[in-house]
Amino acid sequence: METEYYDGIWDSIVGRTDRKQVERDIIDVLKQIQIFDGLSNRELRNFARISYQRTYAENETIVIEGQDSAGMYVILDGTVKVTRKVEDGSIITLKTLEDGTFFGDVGLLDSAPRTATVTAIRTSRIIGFFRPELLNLIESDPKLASKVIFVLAKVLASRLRFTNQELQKAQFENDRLRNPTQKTEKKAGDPQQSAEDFKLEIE
Amino acid sequence: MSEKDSVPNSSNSEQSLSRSSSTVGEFSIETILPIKESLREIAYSAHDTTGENREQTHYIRESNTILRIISLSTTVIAIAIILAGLYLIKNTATLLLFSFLIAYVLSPVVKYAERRGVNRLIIILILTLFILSSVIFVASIAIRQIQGQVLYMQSSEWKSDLAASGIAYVERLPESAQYFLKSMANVYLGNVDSPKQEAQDILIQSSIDKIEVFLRNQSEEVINTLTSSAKGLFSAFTTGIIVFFLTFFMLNNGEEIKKTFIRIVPNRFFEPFLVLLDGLNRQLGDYLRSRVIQTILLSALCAIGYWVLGLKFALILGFIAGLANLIPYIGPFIGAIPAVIIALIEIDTRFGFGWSLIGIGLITIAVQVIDNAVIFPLLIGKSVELGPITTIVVVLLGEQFFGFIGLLMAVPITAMIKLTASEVIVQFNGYSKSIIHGQ
Repeated sequence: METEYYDGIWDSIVGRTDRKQVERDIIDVLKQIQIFDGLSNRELRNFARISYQRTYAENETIVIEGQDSAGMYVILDGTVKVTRKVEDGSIITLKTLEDGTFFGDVGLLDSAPRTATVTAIRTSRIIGFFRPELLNLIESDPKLASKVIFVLAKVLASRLRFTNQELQKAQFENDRLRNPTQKTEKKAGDPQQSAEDFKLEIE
Repeated sequence: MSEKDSVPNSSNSEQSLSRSSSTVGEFSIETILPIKESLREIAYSAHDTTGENREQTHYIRESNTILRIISLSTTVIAIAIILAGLYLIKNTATLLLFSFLIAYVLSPVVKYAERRGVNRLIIILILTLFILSSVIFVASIAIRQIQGQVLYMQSSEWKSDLAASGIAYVERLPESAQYFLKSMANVYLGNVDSPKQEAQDILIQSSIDKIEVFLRNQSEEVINTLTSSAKGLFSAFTTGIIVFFLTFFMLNNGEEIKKTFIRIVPNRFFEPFLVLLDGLNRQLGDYLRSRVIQTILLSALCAIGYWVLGLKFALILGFIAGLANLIPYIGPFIGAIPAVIIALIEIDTRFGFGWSLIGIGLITIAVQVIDNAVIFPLLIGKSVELGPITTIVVVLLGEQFFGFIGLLMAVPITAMIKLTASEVIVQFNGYSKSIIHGQ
């Protein structure tokens, strides 16, 4: 029943929404998400308290590419698509995300513009966690904040590792196309070296 | 990606790629970007479409102007309606605003205490009760003083007391001031060729008679005014209790109120709204706290100065001077008036009346110099400074609509509105750009 999740304006004003129930719902879902598995029940409850729950209708945009980012989102239930506008003006879909996944996590750490647009493709209940709350959390509950930041760092580290691997593959492929005769020599170790150089260049 | 679109970016891409190629060695741009069109060809094609574009731009500009006029007039009407509504509920709005400002300034203290392990409810209760008890203390003293004064004036003793104190006062004046009084007695009461004391007595007696006639005529009004001030203070007392409850709930349930408010924001504006709120929170918080620190510093400086001069109630006088500093230009001088009155009444100050007056003047100027040269630039900065005309207009409007509180709060409130408006404009521009580029 998707309509059950809809937080109407009047529900918010007269406080009919049972906050404790909402918190329990959020905690139940967060428990199942890998990045939050190191948090205790109390920490999950504190986390749920400082996050915002929103419900997005089908085709409703959650974040817009180019807009200043403020935080990350976790899908409690629903499906969203991540799209990006390419240079010829067309829009390509990069990924589809389901329950329990998250997006926009880099936005929690800096306010750089969003790199993609995220749109709900069916009614989706999503919780948002934002930088001002993270900064407050660092002061009010440093233990929980450091756990959250550590989790984020792990996510970013695994992404960086993946990007490096992809870059290395691309580099190797490029070398192979440019110089097919030196195929065997390159395999011996050069791609690794050039990928390292490329990383330094990016940094 | 079409070739045409890829070309304008080619120079940048080329630069960045050639940079990387220096380290990567055999990394070639041709394998990644097939450039088939030269810049000249693009220039030709652009030239063909310019004429057509110009016409389109003209129409767009015209329709944009109309849209701008509509949006501007709608904004002006909306602001006028909001202001009129605020004016209608000005008493409630003032109370709410006052409580909000107190809660806002105190919230970091609550957060700090909470971090140190103090129960949130207890620290909020302590803070709000402290404010309430201070208000009750000051109000009750003032009410008692005024009531005593009214009762005293209604009795017949006051005239003889006034005469005695008047004579005593003149006797304590310096020789030059007594000579001045004697000359005045000569001018106003005819040629008084009598000893000095007699001249003084005649002058004082005549002044007291005049005061008596004046007060007899005005007695009703004077007593009414005093009674109404007592009533005013009583209403200040009840106001204090209302402010106490409002501040208490704002501090205690602030986060929930904020969350409920955010919940009713449509999804479309949710994230920009949070960014805006965060920016506002930081800017307004910094500004308000800076103003509070500035007032405390200036009050302390003035209080120290008055204490050195040996004035009674130096602490309260310093606080009044610090608070009055919120009123631009004339504020420091208004703030010095109570100190001058005290110096006038308590004529036997440490350095005598004349030097005390000079001292108060010097303290006022010195504190102003310190404020303008050090405290204001360091704490608040130029960004929220208002122009002189804006300042005068908002102070006059504040006084006209909200009385003394308006006079005091006009500049801080306008500065806060200015900060809010600039933050909203910045966010709105960023949001519209992201809508254009993102979708």
